[in-house]
Amino acid sequence: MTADRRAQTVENPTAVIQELYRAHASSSDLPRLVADHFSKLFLSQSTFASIPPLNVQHPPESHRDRALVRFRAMVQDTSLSTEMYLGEHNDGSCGGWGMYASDDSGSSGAGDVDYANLQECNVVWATTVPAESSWCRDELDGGNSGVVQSPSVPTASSRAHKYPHPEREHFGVQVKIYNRENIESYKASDVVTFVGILSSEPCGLDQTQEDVADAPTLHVLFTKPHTPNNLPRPFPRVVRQSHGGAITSVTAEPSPREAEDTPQIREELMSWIADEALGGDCQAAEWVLLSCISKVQARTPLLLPSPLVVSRFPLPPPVPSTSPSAAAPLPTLSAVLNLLLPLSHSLPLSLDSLNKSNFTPESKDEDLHAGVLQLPQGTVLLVSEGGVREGQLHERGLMNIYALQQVMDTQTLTYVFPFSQFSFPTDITCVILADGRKSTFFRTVLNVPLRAPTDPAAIAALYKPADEVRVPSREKLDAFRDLVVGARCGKVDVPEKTSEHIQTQFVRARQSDRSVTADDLIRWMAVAKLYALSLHEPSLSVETWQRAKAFDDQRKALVTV
Amino acid sequence: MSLPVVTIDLTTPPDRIKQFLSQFASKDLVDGMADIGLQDGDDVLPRPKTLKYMQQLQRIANREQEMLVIDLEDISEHERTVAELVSRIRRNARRYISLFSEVIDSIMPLPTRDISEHDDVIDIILHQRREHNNNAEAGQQLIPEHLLRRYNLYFQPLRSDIAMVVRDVKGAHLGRLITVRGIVTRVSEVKPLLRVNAYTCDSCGSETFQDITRKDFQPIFDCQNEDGCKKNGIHGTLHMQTRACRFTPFQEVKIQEMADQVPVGHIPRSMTIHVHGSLTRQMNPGDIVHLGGIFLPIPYTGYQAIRAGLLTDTFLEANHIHQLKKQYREMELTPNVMREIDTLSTDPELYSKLAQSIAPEIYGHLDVKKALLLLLVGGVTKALGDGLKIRGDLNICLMGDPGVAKSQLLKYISKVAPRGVYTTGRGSSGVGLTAAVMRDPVTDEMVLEGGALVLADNGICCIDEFDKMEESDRTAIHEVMEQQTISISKAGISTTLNARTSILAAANPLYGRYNPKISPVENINLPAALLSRFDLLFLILDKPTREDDEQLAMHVTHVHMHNTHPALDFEVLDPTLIRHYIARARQHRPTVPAEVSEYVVNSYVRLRKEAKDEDAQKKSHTYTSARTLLGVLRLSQALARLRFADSVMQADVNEALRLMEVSKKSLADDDEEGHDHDRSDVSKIFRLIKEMAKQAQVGRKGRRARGARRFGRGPGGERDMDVDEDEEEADAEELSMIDIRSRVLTAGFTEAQLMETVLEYEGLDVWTRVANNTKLRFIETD
Repeated sequence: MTADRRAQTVENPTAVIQELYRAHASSSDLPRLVADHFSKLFLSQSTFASIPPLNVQHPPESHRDRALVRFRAMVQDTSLSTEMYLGEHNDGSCGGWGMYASDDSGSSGAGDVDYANLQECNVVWATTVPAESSWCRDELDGGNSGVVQSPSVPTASSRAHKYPHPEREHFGVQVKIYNRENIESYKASDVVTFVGILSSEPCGLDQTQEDVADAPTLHVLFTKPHTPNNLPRPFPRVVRQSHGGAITSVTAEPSPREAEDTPQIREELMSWIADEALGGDCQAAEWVLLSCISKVQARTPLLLPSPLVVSRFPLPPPVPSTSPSAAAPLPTLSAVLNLLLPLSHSLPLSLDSLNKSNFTPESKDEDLHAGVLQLPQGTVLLVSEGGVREGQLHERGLMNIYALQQVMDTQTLTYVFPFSQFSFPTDITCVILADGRKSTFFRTVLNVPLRAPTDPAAIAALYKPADEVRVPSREKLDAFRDLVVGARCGKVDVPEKTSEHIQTQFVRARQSDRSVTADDLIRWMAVAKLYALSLHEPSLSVETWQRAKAFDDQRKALVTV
Repeated sequence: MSLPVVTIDLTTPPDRIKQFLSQFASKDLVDGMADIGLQDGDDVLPRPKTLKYMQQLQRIANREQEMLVIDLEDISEHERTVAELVSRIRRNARRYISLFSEVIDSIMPLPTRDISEHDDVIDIILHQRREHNNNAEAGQQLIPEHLLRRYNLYFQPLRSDIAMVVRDVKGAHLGRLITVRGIVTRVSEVKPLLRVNAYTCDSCGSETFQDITRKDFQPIFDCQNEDGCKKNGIHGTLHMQTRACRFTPFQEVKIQEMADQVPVGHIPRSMTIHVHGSLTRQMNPGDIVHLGGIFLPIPYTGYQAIRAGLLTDTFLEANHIHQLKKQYREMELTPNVMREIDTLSTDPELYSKLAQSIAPEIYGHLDVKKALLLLLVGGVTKALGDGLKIRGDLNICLMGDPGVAKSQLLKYISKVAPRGVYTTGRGSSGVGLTAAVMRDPVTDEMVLEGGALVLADNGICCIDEFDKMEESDRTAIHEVMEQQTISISKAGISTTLNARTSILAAANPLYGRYNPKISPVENINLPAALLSRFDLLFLILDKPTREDDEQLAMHVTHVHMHNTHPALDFEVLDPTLIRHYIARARQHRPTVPAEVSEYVVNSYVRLRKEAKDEDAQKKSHTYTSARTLLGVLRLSQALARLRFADSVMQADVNEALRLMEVSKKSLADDDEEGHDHDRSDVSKIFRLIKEMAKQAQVGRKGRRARGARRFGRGPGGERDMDVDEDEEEADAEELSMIDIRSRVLTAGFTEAQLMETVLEYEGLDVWTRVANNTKLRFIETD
């Protein structure tokens, strides 16, 4: 396995498959051989990075036909029916991976197809990862080095209904998977990197139409699954050796020293969030930070992230009606979260968007249309209610609100199919910005009122555009991201001693105050664990528990004021 | 992995088929359908066996039948094996359809009925063609055999064939006869599909036939007559003759996997079904079907074929349609489960074991769980001769503080019950619960859509947040709970639907939390007419006690420490086993023997007397009426059913009475201390203020028309019970402290007493002081 071999593979993957086919003519499981061969060839991080990426900056059109690409994608629809292909053509050549018989033998029609050579491949529809932040993409796809910056042509508009946020730049690809081991493991909204040969083929989706349009098609050689955060970061945090941006691999570090400045970085991070996006309210910033690192821990029993409401969040300053951009500005928090998290999405609610858009995926004519909430696992969703005006909420709007509430309560999203509905597990943490003293639409456990100045200038600062955010130095930003993403990857133990302390404390609290219930205990536990995570403490100490509880009590006091 | 290839020796099958068709005789009576009417009464005589298929062929020849179904069961019976012909048919069904057709053509009997003017045009043409073939001279072109067929041949799969899931149908099944289960999602129009295209020649008049086997075809233009046009080199004289062509009805149907077939977290797959001939128009969207058919690939055509040589789409050519509708809900009893039920039924601790296994993750509440178990089993419904019916279904109401796992209990029950529906009082209107008249989008006819209560017919309807329900909707439930029917008269439809359902309701006390300061009746906040319809009513309170709190804290911290539930200290029965056990128990109809009934009567008399005494002391919160007696009987019957017994024992009655007692006690528990408080000055002041709030609301009659209307309507007796609901509706009701003070002081209370009341109830979150303590606002409960 030399570097040349790799270069040659990148250059002409088709030839490599044919070579493999000739070498293992008798093998009954060529797809598996191919997958093994290619995944071995590109095993290490650096060699894997040498495969050209397929992403919004490098759309399908920018690659030549039958090029080897890697495509990090969200599986959007797995309901496409499987496809039959000829594993061996009449002239004895290899079939599959988009290799078809040459024209002269093909024209003889399907009559003389040797049915014994028929094989099956699975087809799924995959899109670029929704809600993925640009820094995450750069890190995984090897930076902006290419600087092709192709003028983003809105090519994908023809199948925009297959992407959750059609207004964003995106494209969808028909992915054909030949290696059928673990084929059932691909589920809707999973993030997977597909490595394969890119070409263009008739789309399996529009079977109902008369003339079938072509769609970009990826013939998969091998795949790499992703963790829920897309990016691996060590927990607890380690000292960075270089400032290269991408941490290559956790184990590759010679001796990862545990970073000692975590509490200090945490303070800096909080004050940065507070200053840039929350009008200087450090407490709200801390709650936002805790929400950002919460995720689904277990489904039986349910240990789910609690949605957070930042209440008393001022309405956006009125946009002059003459302004060309009629849409209300996004809160700056959206940009800040985007800088910190690999996956985050802003959902500004307005009556119009509620009544017109579809939050849940829905199958129409055997084609699964994406919904706004079809987001990959580990997304942080920022819902801002500021855009809602007085008016009528229609049935669809109600269903949309219900769907989002269901995501918050049970972390399941209902996909609508004719005559039936199916619940799919999600992992979406919600942060809601509400103008009133609680959210207008949603029922939440955590509520923290924002204490920020309310003069027009300060309000404008809460809604300043993304390019006005003071971005900290590169090292600092990397440290912030290590802290947040690392905490998302981490896990906290509750030692026996702390557990006993908590139990006695709860019993005492119950004795003195009747209104304390089990729900309070559950909330305290959840908050304490998040608090420990944000400090990168692998086990929950009594002190952290006390601090977290005091922290929650403070919040409660603020709410009742 | 390549697909299996089977090489078949095709020399013998036609003979075998011939032998089967001509000799197979059906044994049962039903198959000789035509004879049934004629053979009345003389069933005792050994009937001559009927040749099932030859008879049908005769009917086909006589143009009386179109559909010929070859039942694979018959072949296997005839051959006494499923290995030979049957398995070949299943592996290569399409080929065998043509083989069978050829054999049938060769043995088709002559029609016994002459062609007449009553027959279809097509039959006359067929007849003429047949004549043509018979009179044809050697060398002359014969009309293809299949143009003369006027039957559709289908295979009916073996009864033992297991219905597959769409996602399990793999490439290996190509060409095979398989059975698939699914729900029909889309049905196309029925279109004619061209099978044989006929042309006539302009110059020589001869007919030319073209076989169509694919979706697209190239019409021919040149006459194929060897003796005429072809010899003379005449081109382009052919005309298509629609009348002489053979068409078959064709329909494309989509089926989709059903909820129980899809692995968790996956998207259901769908499959294209092609339906031909007599099977068309048999499926509608929403039907649940078993489809037997041949799984086939469609080669790409046109542009795609140039690109590919690829075969993409696959479809199922339907051969047999079996509509399932309700039957699929019936549970399959495996011998394994049967054995487990048998061992379980002899278990002495059966009753508590079953009860503990209900929602095992919920700690404690054993008596409530026992009651729920009996709810699942139910009593015996008795239909009296004069059309009256005494319900056997139990109704239970759970009332209690928030966070005592009422909803989890309800959800568990709705899942275990064979027809359980879970709904919330807030989320459902009266129409949603009962029924609605809708226009069917497909057929455009008016249809009755059943609501939750109708859907739960013969099952259990779990209604959460019962207290938050609109008063008008609750009345719909009155009828269901006693009469077990729903009457509708709207949009020109007046009907009574069955709703033989048990109701399991959960409700919060007034103001969300149980208020020990007021009487249980006030806390419960449901009208007496409704309360008496519940056989059992449990009050589950969240009272802080040291042991319970420790237990609770331990549980919560354990969950957070290990991300799992702590291990339970008792054996939990599998929900499916419970379901089967209950299904079996429900088959029994225990009766009440004379000595037990006497015991019941005595107990009832005693209960009535006690109730009278309590009434006299003004301590009663429940009503002992004839309904109580029926309730005791129902509970005892359910208990007997659990034992798989056919008669009620005295022990059953005792247990039923104990449950009644427990349910009553749960209400009276707080009563001891509550009663004293109830008469305290604090409570009196509280009632006074409440009265004021109500009046304030009436004052806003104009703006809040609904609240006012309700106030005016309630008959005095009933209003004592539900009067408080008005406050609950009215959000942010504010009263001036000055008004309150003057009113309270004039009533003879002191300032200190007033403040005590205000603080006391503020602590309970009933109201709060606003506007610098000058106003009192009732806190809305949501």
